[in-house]
Amino acid sequence: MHELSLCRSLVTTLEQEAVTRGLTRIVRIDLGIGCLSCVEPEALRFAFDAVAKPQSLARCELAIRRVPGQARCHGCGRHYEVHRWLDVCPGCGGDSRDLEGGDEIMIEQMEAC
Amino acid sequence: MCGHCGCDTQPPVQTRVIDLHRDLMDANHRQAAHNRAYFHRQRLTALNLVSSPGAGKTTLLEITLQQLQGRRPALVIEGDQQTELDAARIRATGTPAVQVQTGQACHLDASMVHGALHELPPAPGGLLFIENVGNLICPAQFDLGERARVVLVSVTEGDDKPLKYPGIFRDADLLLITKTDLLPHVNFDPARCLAHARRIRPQLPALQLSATSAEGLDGWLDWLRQLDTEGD
Repeated sequence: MHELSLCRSLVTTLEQEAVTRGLTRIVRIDLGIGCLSCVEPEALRFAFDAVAKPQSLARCELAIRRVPGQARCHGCGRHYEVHRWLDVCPGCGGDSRDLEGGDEIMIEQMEAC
Repeated sequence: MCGHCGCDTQPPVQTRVIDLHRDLMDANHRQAAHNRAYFHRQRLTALNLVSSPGAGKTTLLEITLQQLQGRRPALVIEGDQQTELDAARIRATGTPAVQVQTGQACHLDASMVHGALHELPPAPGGLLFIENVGNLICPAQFDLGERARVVLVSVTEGDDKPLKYPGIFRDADLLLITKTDLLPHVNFDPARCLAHARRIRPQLPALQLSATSAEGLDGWLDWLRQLDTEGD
C-alpha cells in the first residue's frame, strides 16, 4: 500500500511547515489528488489515521479534491477532462489522445494556528 | 481540556489558511533527478522493469545477462518485499547485483535505488537493470531516474491487463510480451494487448519473446542497443 509511505511523507512535510512557520496546530489540510494518480483517497484517509503523528497534527482534518487530467483528442482536436482512464472524447468518441496532468498529489492549502 | 470544568471542549482558536501548493512527490522527484544525473555521468543506461509477480522479469534478466557477458558491463538492482533469492539468481550469472528488501512498501522509490547504487561497482557505458517489486499499481507513481520503463505482460495473464492497470502504461517506453512459447495453450492475443496499451500510451512500441525458447530475444537485445544511441 503506497498510500502509507505517501502519508509518512505528508506528515514529515507538514511537520517541517509547522516548524518553519511557527505553527502549533494544523486543523485541516486540503489535498489535490489527480484522478489518474495511483492514489486511492479512501486508502489515503485510512493511512493518515493510522500513521504516527505529532501533537500538532493530532486532530487534523483531511480534505481531498479530485483533479481531472487534460486530454487533446487525436481525432477532432477537442480538449476535454479525463476523470477515468478510459474516458473517450465527448465530441467524436475517439479514444486516442495526448494526456496531461491528472497524476498530481498536491498539498494545496492548510488551515493552522 | 477546558479551563473551567475539565471537559473535552477545545477552546476556540484563531486559525488562518495558508497556500502551500507542494507536490508530495517532490522528494522522490529530486532524488530521481539526482540518480539520473549520476547515470548520465557514468554513461549508465538504467531500465526500470515492472510487471505483475511471475511475469518473468528475473528469468528475462538471467538470459539477457548471459547474452551481454563479455560484450557489455551490466548491473542489477533487485526489488522484492522479502528475501535475497532474486539477487542470488542474478549473481549466479556473474553480474553484480544488490537486493533491496522493501519491507512493507510495495514498490521501489528513487532513494532505495540511490542507496543500492552505493553498493554496486562502477560500470561506465553499461546497463543497469532495476527489477521493481512485482506489482502493476504502486510502482507507477515512482520515477527512479531511469532512462526507460519496460512493462512486461506474460501471455498467461489476460491481454486486457493494460485496461485494468492503466497507470503503469502511461510512462512506459516498451511493452514486452513474455512467455510467448505458451501462446498455443492460452487465450491471449498480443495484438489486442498492444491495442489496449496504446489507448493509454499512443505509439507505445512492443516486442514479444520467450526466455525459454529464446525466440524474440534478438529483438530485445537490439532494442537495448538502440536505447543508448537515442539517449545520447
